Amino acid sequence: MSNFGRVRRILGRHGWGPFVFIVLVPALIWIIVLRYLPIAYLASLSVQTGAAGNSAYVGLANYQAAAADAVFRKAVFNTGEYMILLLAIQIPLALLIAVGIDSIKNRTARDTVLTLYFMPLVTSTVASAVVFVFLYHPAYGLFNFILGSVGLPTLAYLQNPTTALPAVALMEGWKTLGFPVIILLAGLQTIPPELYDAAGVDGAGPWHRLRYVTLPLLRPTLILVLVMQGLETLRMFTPVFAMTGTGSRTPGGPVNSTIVWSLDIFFQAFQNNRFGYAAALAMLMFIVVAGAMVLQLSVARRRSM
Amino acid sequence: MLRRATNVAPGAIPKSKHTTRMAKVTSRAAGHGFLWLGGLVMVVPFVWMVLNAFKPASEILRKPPTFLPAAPTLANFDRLLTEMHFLQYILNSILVTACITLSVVATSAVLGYVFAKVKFAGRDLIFVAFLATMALPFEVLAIPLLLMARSAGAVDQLWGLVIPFTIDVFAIYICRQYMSAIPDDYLDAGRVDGLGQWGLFRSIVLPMSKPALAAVAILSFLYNWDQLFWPLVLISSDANKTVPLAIVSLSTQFGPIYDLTMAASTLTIVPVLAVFLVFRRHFIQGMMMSGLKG
Repeated sequence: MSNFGRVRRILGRHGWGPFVFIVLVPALIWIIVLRYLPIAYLASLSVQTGAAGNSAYVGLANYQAAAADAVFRKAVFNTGEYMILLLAIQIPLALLIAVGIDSIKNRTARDTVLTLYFMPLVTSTVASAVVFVFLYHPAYGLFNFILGSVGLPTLAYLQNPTTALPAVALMEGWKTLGFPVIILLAGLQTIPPELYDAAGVDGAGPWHRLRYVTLPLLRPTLILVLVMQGLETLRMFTPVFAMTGTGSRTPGGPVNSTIVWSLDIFFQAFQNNRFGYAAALAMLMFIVVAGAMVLQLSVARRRSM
Repeated sequence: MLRRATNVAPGAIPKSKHTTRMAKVTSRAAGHGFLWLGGLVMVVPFVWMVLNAFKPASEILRKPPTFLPAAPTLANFDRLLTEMHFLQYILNSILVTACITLSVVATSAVLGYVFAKVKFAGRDLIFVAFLATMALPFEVLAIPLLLMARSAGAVDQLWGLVIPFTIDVFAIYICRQYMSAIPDDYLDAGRVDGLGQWGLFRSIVLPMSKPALAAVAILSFLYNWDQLFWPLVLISSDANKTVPLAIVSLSTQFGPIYDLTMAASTLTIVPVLAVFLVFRRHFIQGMMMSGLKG
């Protein structure tokens, strides 16, 4: 008992009172068991044949197989394509919308417009995805009805390997547009209006104000939005699964034209039961995310110094 | 642009102030017009969804499409709730999401306080150990977590959907940032009054952090209401399905049955949209808080 008392006294001297102890120890156990341990487990799975008792150590064979796997390469390539489509179109568009909303003086009008752009963000992705599947219907969908009534050729959207990926990306872009808009709007509001007045005195037009005042001051916010949306699109599981897997179709189709990294992990692990191989694919995703985070941190640190 | 042109060429006859202002006003009006138009386009899918939820299948698959339902019917909702057990899925989703959200709010409040306002050895190191897991995609963790769930007997259990999300590092981060901004003077005053750590948290920090907690609650609810990957991996029996899983299996099992999927989407989306429209400011503020940095 006296030992216990001594430990308590030493802990208490370093700030570890009962309150800190009771709050922090369960949380630490949680984060170790449900976040750190799984990563270690994943790493060990990725160098084995499978998860069962008869699993054997295979070294880096799973990684070598991944590098040679045409479907996995397609999945990584598609993930990049979704990311580029979304970041290169959605973020500039969101910036324009944010600048536009910021310039509305009437409070009610401003709130209403913002709400309109924000609405899809609060809705369920799966529910939105099946609505878009209907909108995209080649014969009875709204999109083809509109195209047809203005005399444009109609499209097969999700049924055509060329248009399927952009069609999924469009729904994701619509669904998440409100997020960059709101974050960029918050960033815009931190720019002091005197800077615009000063630029106006110097004779800067709207384009020059955007280029030389807004963009440089908004840079940290833009980077944050790019990183957060980039991470979101790296996952990109739900829209692909819900939009391309209707009926008897395999999600990720037609002919793997919409398959993504996370969907490939899902197939390999939970449908083909190739846990070792799927673990290697997941480990590669972990390495990409960790690398991106380290890069972003070091860039941010260098800038702040 | 016009104004700049007058400055660049001082020798030229300056354009009258009136035309410049006219050009500015019209270009701004055109910009705002596009902004409104885009905003209305954003809502079209919802309108189309709700309208079609009240049409029978025969009317949904018609060319050219009808806009308003010819004879509005509740049959789709009726079939969904009675034949398809949708009420069960909704209750499952509410139960799982409520448990996660309550846990996330409670744990991030108390952990945010510990990391923001309590001094102890190793605090920054432990905080970094938490933060390091923030960007981890769940898909990376799913394989080992499923194997762990198998040995813990959590497979096909609703509590198995809850456990991996009861702590949210991003929510802790939001709370810590918000609580760090509370001046220490308040806490010092509390200490003079004889409050311990729990008292300081309970009666000073917690009441002052309501906006952050509201933001955390909203973000957590939206994120977990929307989850598909983990339920898809963990849940196998029909009785334990959540709403996203039920909608996905609706369209994978029966093919594209748009009368039912539109009604199911309407049931999933409209209540959340209604809550959003009432608490709009809180939602928007909460989202803005998720972009806070530094």
